[in-house]
Formats: sequence, structure tokens, C-alpha cells
Amino acid sequence: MTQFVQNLIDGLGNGSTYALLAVGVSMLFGVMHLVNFAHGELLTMGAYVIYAMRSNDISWWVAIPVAILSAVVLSMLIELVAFRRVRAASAFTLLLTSFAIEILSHAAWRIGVSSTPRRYEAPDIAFKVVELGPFNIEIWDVVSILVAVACFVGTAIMLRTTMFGLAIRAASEDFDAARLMGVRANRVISGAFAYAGLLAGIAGAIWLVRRGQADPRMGAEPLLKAVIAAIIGGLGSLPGAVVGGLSLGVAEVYFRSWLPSDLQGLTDSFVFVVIAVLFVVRPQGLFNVRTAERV
Amino acid sequence: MRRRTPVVAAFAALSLVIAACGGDEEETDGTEASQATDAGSSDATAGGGASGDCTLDEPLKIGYAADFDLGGIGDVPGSKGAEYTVEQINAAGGVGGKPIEFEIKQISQTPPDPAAAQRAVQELLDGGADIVLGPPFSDYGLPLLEVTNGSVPVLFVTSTEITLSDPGRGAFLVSFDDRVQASAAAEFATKQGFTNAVTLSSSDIPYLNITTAAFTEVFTGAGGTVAADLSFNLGDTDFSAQVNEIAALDPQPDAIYSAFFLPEAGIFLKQLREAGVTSAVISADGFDASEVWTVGADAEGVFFTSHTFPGPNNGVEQFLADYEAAKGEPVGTVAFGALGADAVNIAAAAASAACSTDGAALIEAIQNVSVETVTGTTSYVGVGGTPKRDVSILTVTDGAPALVEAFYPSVVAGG
Amino acid sequence: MAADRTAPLARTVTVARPTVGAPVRSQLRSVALPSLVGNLGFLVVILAIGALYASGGSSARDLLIGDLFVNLVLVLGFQVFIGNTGVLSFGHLGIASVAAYTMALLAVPSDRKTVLIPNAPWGIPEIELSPLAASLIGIGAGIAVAFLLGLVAARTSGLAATMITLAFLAIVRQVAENRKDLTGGAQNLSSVPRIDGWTWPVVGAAIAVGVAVMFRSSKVGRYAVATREDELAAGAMGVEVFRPRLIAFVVSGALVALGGILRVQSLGSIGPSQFSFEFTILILAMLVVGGMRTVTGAIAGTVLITVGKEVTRFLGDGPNFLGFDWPVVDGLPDLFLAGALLAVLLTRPNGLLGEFDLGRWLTRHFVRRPARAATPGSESAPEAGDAATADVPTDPVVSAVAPAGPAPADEALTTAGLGVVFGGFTAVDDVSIRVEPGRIHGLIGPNGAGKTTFVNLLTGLVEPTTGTVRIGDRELTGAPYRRARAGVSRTFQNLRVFPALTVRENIAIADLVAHDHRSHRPGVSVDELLALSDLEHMADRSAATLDYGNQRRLEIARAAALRPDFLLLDEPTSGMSSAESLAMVDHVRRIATAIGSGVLVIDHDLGFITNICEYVTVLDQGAVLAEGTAAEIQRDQRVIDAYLGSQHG
Repeated sequence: MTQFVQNLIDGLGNGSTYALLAVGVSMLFGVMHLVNFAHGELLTMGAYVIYAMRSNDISWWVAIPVAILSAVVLSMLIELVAFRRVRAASAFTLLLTSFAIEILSHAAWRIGVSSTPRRYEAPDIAFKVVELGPFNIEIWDVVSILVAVACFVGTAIMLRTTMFGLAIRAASEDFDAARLMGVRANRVISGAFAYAGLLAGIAGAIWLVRRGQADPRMGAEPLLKAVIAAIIGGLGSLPGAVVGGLSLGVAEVYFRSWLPSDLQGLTDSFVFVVIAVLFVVRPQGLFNVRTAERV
Repeated sequence: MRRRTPVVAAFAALSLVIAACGGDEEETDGTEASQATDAGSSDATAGGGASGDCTLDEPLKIGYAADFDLGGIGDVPGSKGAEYTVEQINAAGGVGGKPIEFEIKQISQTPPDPAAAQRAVQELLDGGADIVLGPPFSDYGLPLLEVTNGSVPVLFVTSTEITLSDPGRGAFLVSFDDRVQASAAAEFATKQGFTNAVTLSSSDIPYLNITTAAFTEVFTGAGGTVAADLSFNLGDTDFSAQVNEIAALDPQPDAIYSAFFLPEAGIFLKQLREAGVTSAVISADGFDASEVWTVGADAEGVFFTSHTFPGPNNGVEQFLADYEAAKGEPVGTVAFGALGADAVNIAAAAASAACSTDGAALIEAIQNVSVETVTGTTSYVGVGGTPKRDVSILTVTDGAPALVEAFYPSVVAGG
Repeated sequence: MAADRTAPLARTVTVARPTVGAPVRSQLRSVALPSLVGNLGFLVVILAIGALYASGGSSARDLLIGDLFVNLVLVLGFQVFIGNTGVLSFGHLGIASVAAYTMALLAVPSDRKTVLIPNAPWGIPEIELSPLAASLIGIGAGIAVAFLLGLVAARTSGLAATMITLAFLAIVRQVAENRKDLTGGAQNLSSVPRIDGWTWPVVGAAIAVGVAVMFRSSKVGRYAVATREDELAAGAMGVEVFRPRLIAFVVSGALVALGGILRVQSLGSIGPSQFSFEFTILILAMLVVGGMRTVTGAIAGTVLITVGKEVTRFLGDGPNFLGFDWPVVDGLPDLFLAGALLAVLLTRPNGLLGEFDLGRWLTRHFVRRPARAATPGSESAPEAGDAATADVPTDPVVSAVAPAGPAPADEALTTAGLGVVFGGFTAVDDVSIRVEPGRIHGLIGPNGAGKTTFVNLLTGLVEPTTGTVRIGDRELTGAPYRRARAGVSRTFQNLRVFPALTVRENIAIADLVAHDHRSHRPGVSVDELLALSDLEHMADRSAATLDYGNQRRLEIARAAALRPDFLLLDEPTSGMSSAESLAMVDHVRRIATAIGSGVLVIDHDLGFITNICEYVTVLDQGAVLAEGTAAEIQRDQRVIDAYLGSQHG
């Protein structure tokens, strides 16, 4: 039982990062049917910003907001330069465009900085553990979970109370109709990219503080997890993305913990088997947001 | 495996000369050296005359097939060390009266494309490369061997993968292989009185699991127990599952063995210590990057196996200092840059010994050579493709590595 | 008046005799051959340039040519599935991995295996087969895996299929890394017998081109394309989604297996990282840069990316080239890949070549075009030479002049107590109607009355909560494609033509289904339908380029080509002016007469319905409000109230 709860805390800590990224991925899918594999590059941007500032001894209190801001700006820039031009194209084209940006980003960092990782020292708080009864609670896990919860609540309020939120929801339900109803497509999409960038920046900050290293291809893996989480939840569904992210994080920890030693290397495979079975049973993901297709 | 009587006398003389070129020419200026590389034989000085008993018809050509991506941990310093050594040798007159020609070709791409790597190596061969210096990992190393296919020797500069040690196809490691360093780690652990260990492995690259398997074999053979083999993936940023599992073990392990490197090693160590686990941590040569030692207080006391350590018996300290003086920046690691220098020294010694740049002759020469290289004596005599070298056990003290002891393991796993 | 309008039009129509298989055969003649010749010709040109290039220098060039052709096999393998079905698979390299490992484990010399993988199960270290035998078994293993994965992946669509295939790829890789006793793990397995030169890659590429071209022209290939264009519309035309997708998956799996085996045999070693997600992206990039929908596009993209990456790799090492000292750039090939992909996607989202196919282009420009008759009635001459029509079958049956439309089927379409409840809301409630054979029946009601839902219930898009649908004694059940084959075909309120296909091909796909499943019914040839619909002069334009009215008529023609017992038309005049509506009335009659089917027309326009139909059913709030002849309905007070109510409320 202790182990069970301990794993749950660990899993939620990881999962909250996935979920923050997944919400952004899901939101972008909602407004323009894009599965954005370039979203992870915002983390890379943040990492190099943190590296640059930390190696000049600039405080974490400055470095983190600047890193988040850089993610927002980069996200909007990517939309403006690339996705705006292919907005009307098929989902497949959009997907490939996002891959192209991802590869471009990897190459740019490799050429512009180096393929050798750039390192900075993680602050002590990132690894502090407090013992709470039988549990070892990592402070940073708690911080991650709290920040993520704050972001989810904030997002939910934003979606319900602001014009921008209304526009996002309208666009997610029926993009063409929303446009006809006068929602300014450019603004909504640009806003969605900015918001997704903000969430990615926050997720990145949580993750990067611990990672202690910036390298060109670092964004790919967490993003793949986030995309999987978003699809598990049902692309376009923001609550789905949260549930998807958290369950993926928890599943990974449980599988690793429960599998016998010689099967531990196959942790991801077991997670993937579960995912595959899920999609056979529920092809639309956990939360069905597919708007009724008019025929 | 061919066994030959050591034919040392002549080679020893030669090697000393080459070691002198490689290690002791401290006044060499980097710019001059590179001009020498470019300008051809006209700059050859008296130093070249020292290898006077041989005059090569053609200059020795060395091609470095470098993986600057995942293998960058080895090949970035390795190629720097190699290039610098070529400059030094050329400034001293080159090999066989002619300066060495040196070319680097990148073989890594995203996604990894072994076919492109094969073409790059083929281009090196077509460009006349007499010796190829190879990358650390077998995913590029094995396809590379298919191209050279025994026509020229391949020296895998920083690799410790046993699959790349294949003298029948002209493939040699410059240093020991993973099983040797893991066996040494196990023997060291036993000597410390450790009886209970945990290993941390990953199937992502062979390095991370061949080491743990070999450690387990030797450690349990010496009466120890390995309580668990935990797994991780490259790119993981949270080891709380593994750490919690270790923390929950009763009794607590005396030692944790893993060949991990940054950034995983740094995160793991911090989480491990935060969880209150005080077990000794033993790692491998991937830990030999200067950044690793500065992970902070948590790296203190970590043991790791390495190829060499600066000391009075070798030229490493001199090499590191010379390099920094010449290039204005450090090589970055203790061992890998020096191994790059070693590889060039071995190549030069072989060419001088064979007095030829013919591939088959060079392969045979390498197997008979015993060279005083930067890191000490390197010899392939009677050992196949992997030179028998002492494993240095280092520990991080005050943010820098310090030598604990150096020895060759009495039992080597799988052998 | 109503009787007048229902009289068969005195117009001659061609009645095609049921000729099962004929369209496929003629399709192969008219499309496959030129496309095969064109694309194989393209391959020969590449080969010639490659040979010229390789003869002039380093043997690294030979390796490049070999690699190029191996890439071609892989890309064409992907193209067969992704290009034709529009479903994105990330898992194909997993199939390649299984096939290549099977080959390697059988072909690596026994004495090497006893060293490299001494503990492999099933006596593998003792086995040593010839490379060819091992390759064939490897392809067999690839096909078996593709079939099993396809059973799952082809059943789902869209992102679910993508996720399942991605999961498969990840699992294959991780198992290969972890089963070290079997595969050697990440350490890679060396000593795989290597192929010399580029003979085998070229043979493989030629096979791949042949298979890809033949598949695209085959019946199942065209069904797959229909599901790519519009899954719902394809279903309504009797095209099943699952089987064509499964077959496409297996065929492409076989090609990818071949490609994976050739790649490993070129490299001489195999490792889990050779079949990665990143490599999948590279293959996809090659596919989309040229244009994934045609074989020519796939070939062009492969050449462009492979050669471009090679050139940038060369330049990245900082050579002295063209009298210029290039700087050393780390990762230049990656930059090229990203730049090329992005540039193409941003400027030409469908790839550089889009729908261009060399075979069709060649026939259009260099093969003599047979003279075309001016009158539609005689337009059935073989058109093998006509590039534009090459998409479609030409019916070899000589036109027969029928004096009038064929006799209508003698069974009525009936519903009994049909109803559906969506989460507490009763959309359609206990509707029983009877549509007489050969008659035009109107279904009318205000917006939101449940008309479209009723059609969806009839055609199987929506599962009914209660009630049954019958034609005569036959109960219609199951998926839409089954019901379409059983005799009901439909149009859609919001137009669902196959946009990227030509007008002719749109109709031809329904005609193909009719040949297999509706051959007991008389039909009208594709050419006749084009003529009847005034579409013949735009037969070779893609459907997406047609204006609204033409697309409407195309959709009706397509539905008619299925030779249904009943045509269900969902608001065929929505958005039309009254003059256009009147023309549509005539058109619907003409078509219905030509194929002898009954018609159920759904509309909210009372005038249009009473104009066209003898008998009318009125729906309101999901239930039947009234039924009767057109004249009766027009006088019915409840109908008038419902209409006025809805229009003012």
C-alpha cells in the first residue's frame, strides 16, 4: 500500500508535466486540427535560455519567467511563419509541417550552438525530499502538481469566462462554423498558440530545473509522450488531455515498479500495449469530442 | 586470434621516438602545426629524421569517421586530441619523412543513417585513407567495418564495445573493452569489502547493459550478491521509482553500479542522496567528462573506471596542458582526448614499423606494435584487438577526479 | 400534371449488360500499362543517370545508388498504404524490422551466430539459409505481421490507427533491444550477408513500382482511394472500408519488408535503432515532398531527398568544392531535410508533383488520341489512349439502344416503426413509410424534423433504436456499405463527392461496386451517366473544381451508377434558385427512369417536393405528421401549420 501511494505521487509528478504539454497539443488540435510535433521545441528553447542566463549567473527567479516568455514568443512565431500558410491544408500536411519545424529546430541548435550538451546546475530545491510518515515526498513533485493544477483551473476559468476562451471552445467544436460566426480566425489561432506556448513554457520550467542540461534534440521525447497523452484523452478535449497525461505518467511508474527485473526494460512496451488496446476498444480516445459529423 | 612472439626491440625504439613526438614537444605552436599539415613535406624538420630508417613513398593518411551526435561524448574530444597529435607529429617531421594527412568526416545524422556513414567511410578510403579512426558505438561501427572489410586498419578511438574488436577484419580498440572495466569495477568493489550491490542498466545502448552484466558476473563470482538490476531509459529525468526501490531495500546495498553518464547520472545521484541512500556509487568511463565531476556535492565520492589518469608514468598531464596552451581551451575530458592522441600514435608507429602505408601491412604491424602512447604503453601483442591496459579507478574529490588505484582485473567476465 | 412528369422521357439510354470484372480488366489496360511504362521509364532514367554518375568516381557513389533504390522500395511501400488510404501509419518500419531480423537470423553464418548469439532459442544458431531463401521467409514474416497488425489498424481509422501503429513500432524496437539472446540487442548483429552492387536494390525498386502501380489501378486500390477521399461517401456507394485497407496494409507491408531486408543486406548488420520513429519521419518526408498520391511523386521525392542529403553531407565536411572552401557545418543534412520539407509543404502542400503521374502525362502527350464522337450515345469507344480518361474503365459492351427505361424492380422500400433516441432526445419516432418501386416519393418537413436522421437510419449511418428497414422481404441491416449493396444509394445534404478524383472516376467507383454486387440490375454506363448529367465535357476534371450545381449532379450520377433499387436524395436542391430547382426536377426524373429505380427525395421545400413527387410523407418533430398525394398534402392544414409555425418560430 505504501508503495502504491508512493508510486502514485511519483507518477502524478511526471504526469503533470505531460498533461501541461498535452493540453497545449490538444488545444491546437481543436482550433486547427494540427498535431503539433514542433511543440516540444519550445522546451528546447526554454532550456537554452536557462542555460544562457544561468551561465551568466542570472537568478532562477529571472531565468524561469524569461524562459517561459521565450516559449510563448517562439510558439507564436512558428504559427505566424509556418502554420498560418498551411492552415487550410490536410491534417497530414499540417503534421508533416510540424515535423519539418522539429527537424529544423534540432539542426539549428546543432549548428548554432553545438550537438554537445550544454549544462547548468540544478538548484537544490529540485531534488529535496521530505519524509512524510512512510512516504518520501519530493518537494519538486509537489510543486509540479500544484503548478499544474493551478494551470488547469486557470485554463478552465479562462475557457468559460473570457471571449478568447469562448472563441477557442467554439472553434474546437466547429472550426468552419466558428469562422462564419465572425470569430477572427487569425487572432484565435495565434492566441491558442500563445496559450499553448505558455503552458509548454511552464511545463518546461518544471522539467528543466531538474534536467540540468540543454541539448538540441531534448524536446522530442517529452513531446511524443504529450502527444500520446493528448490522443489518449481524445484530441481536442482539454480535460481528456489532463487525464491522458496523468494516467500516462502514473502508468509508466506502476509498470516500472511492478514488472519483474528482467522485464523492466520493456516498460514502455507494456504501456504501449495498453494504449493500443485502448484505441482498439475506443478509437476516439477516452473523451469523445468528435463533433457530430453532419451528413 | 593470432599469437606472435613479441618483436619488441626495434619497435620499442621507434615507439619511444613517437612518444617523444606525441608527448614532449611542448613548445609546438598550434598554428604552425596546422600549416605544416597543409603545406606538405617542405616543413619537415629534423624531428622527422628520427624515424630515418624508414622513408615512406606516400604520406600516411588518417581518416577519422566521427560520430558527433550520440557518440560526441567520445568523438568530440577524441577528434580534437587526434588532430592535435597529427599537428605535433608533423611539426616534428611527420612519419617516414612525410607529414601525416588527416581528414575528419562526420558519419552521424538525424535520423541515424548507417548507409550515409558507410558512404562517408568509403569516401575516406577512396581519398586514400590508410588508417581509419572509428566512432564509439557499434550502430555506426559495424556498418563501417563492412566497408573497410579488412582492407585498412580501423582504430575505434574511444569505443569500449567488444564487438568492434576484431583483428581479423583489421578492427582494434584503442583501450580496454566494457567487460574489462566492469570486471575491474567488481573486483574493486569486492576489495572494498562490498558484498551487496544493485545495478542500473538500460537496453538503449550496449554500453549500459554489457557493463552491468559483466559486473554482476564477476561480483557474484567473488561471493557478492546483486540484489536487483533496475532499468532506465536514456532521456529519463526522474529516477524516483528506481531510487525508492533502492531506498526500500533491506539490507541497503553497499554499492550501486551503473555505466550511466550525464544528464541521467546527475539526476540519479541527486535523487539518490536526497532519498538518504548512502551506498557507494561506481560508474564507468562515460563518467569521464569534466562536467560530471561538477554535478555538485552529490558526485563527491563516486568511483568510476577510466582509461587513464594523469600521473608520472604517462604523458597525460603534459598532453592536457599542451593542448590547452596550443588551442586556448581544454580538451574537456581526461581520457578521451588522450585516446585520440593514442590512436594517432599507434597509427604512426605502425606505419613506421611496417614502413608502408599498405592496409594489410599496417594491420599486421599494429598487432606487433608496442607503443609508448600518451596514456602509457599500448600493445596488441598477443591480445587480439583489445590492448591489455590497466583500468584506473578514479574517485571524485573536491569536484575533480583523483586516482584510487590502477590494475588489470584478475578475472574478466565472459573470458 | 404529376402523371405527365413521371412519364418516361423519350431518351435513348445505353444499358450496360452485367459484365463482372470487365471494368477492372479495362482499367488495367488503360491506366496500369501507361503508368507502369511511365514510372518504370522514370526508374530507368534514374538508373542511367546513376550509372553515369557512379562510373565517374568513388565507389561511395555505388553505395549511394544502391541506397537510393532501397529507399525507393521503402517509400513506395509506405505510399501503397498511406497514399491510397490516407491513413497515417507510423508502424511500417516495425514490419520492416521483423522481416529484416527474420532474414538476418536465418542468413547469418552459423559459425558467427554461435559467437554472437549463442543462446538464441529455436536452434537458430545452427540454422544457415541462403540469403535468398532467408529473404523470402523474411518477407513472409513481414506479410504475416502486417496482416495481424492490419486486422487491428484497418478496423480503426484516423488517429487511432496512427497510434496503434506507433505503439507497434515502439514495441518492436524495445523487444529487439531487450531480447539480447535472440537479436544481439542494441549491440547490433553483424555478419549479415551483404548484397554486392545495386542489382538487387534496382530489382526491388522495379518490383515496388510495379506493385504500387498495379495496386493503385486495381479494384481494391480504387476502393481504398475512395475511402481516403471520403469514408462516409464511400460507404454509401457500397465500398467497404476494412477490406481494402487491410489489403493495402498487407501489400505495403510486403514492400516495406522487402525494403527493410534490402537495407540490412546493404549495410551488412542489423540493429534496433535502424528502424526508428525518426527514420519513419524521413521516409514520410520523402513521400510527401514529391507527392504521396502518385507513384511518380514518391519516386521524385525519394530521389530529391536522398540526393540532397548526400550533397549536403558532402558540403558539411567542408570540402574545397567549385573553387570555394566550404565551412565545416555540423548537421547540414538535417538542415537540408527540414528546409526542403518545409519549403515544399508551405508552397505546395500536396507535394511538388501533386496528382501528377508520369504515365498519364505521357499518354496524354504522346499517344494518339482516338477521335471522340460528338454525340454521347456513341461515346463508348475504347479510350485506352486518352490520358485524361485513363482513370476510368471503359465499358467494352457495345451500346444497345433501349426503347425506354428498364422495368423497375418490383419490391417496395418499407420502414416499420423506425425510430432512434439520442441520449433522451427522440430524433425519429416510430416512422413507417412505404416507397413504391419505380416511383418518386417525397419526404418533407421543416428544419429539424428528423429527415436527414431518417435517411441515416435507412442507410445504416445511424443504428435505429427501434424498427426495421426492408426492400420487399429483405431486411436491410448492418453497415452502410452492406445496405448500399442491398439496393439503397444516397446523396448527401452537404455534398460528398470524392474531391481529388476526376468526375469520371467518381462515377466509375460506384460502377465497379455495381458490377460486383448489383449486376442483376440493369445499369447505365459511366459514359451515359456523364452524358445524362451534362458532365461529359468536364469528365476529366477533378470533382473539387466543379461548381455547386455540377457537383450535385455528379453526386446523383454516382449514386445512380450503383444501380440501386432506390435512390435517396437528401435535399438535392438546397441552395439552388427556383429555375435550377426545376431543372433538377427533370434531372432526377431522367436519371431515375434510366436506371429504373425508385426515388426518395428529402427536402424542406414544399413546392419542389410537390412538383416532383406523386406521393409525399411529412415529418415533424421526428414523427409522421401526414402522408398522401402531393395534392392532398398541399391542402393539409396540419402541414401548413407546421410549416408556417417552423418558419416563423
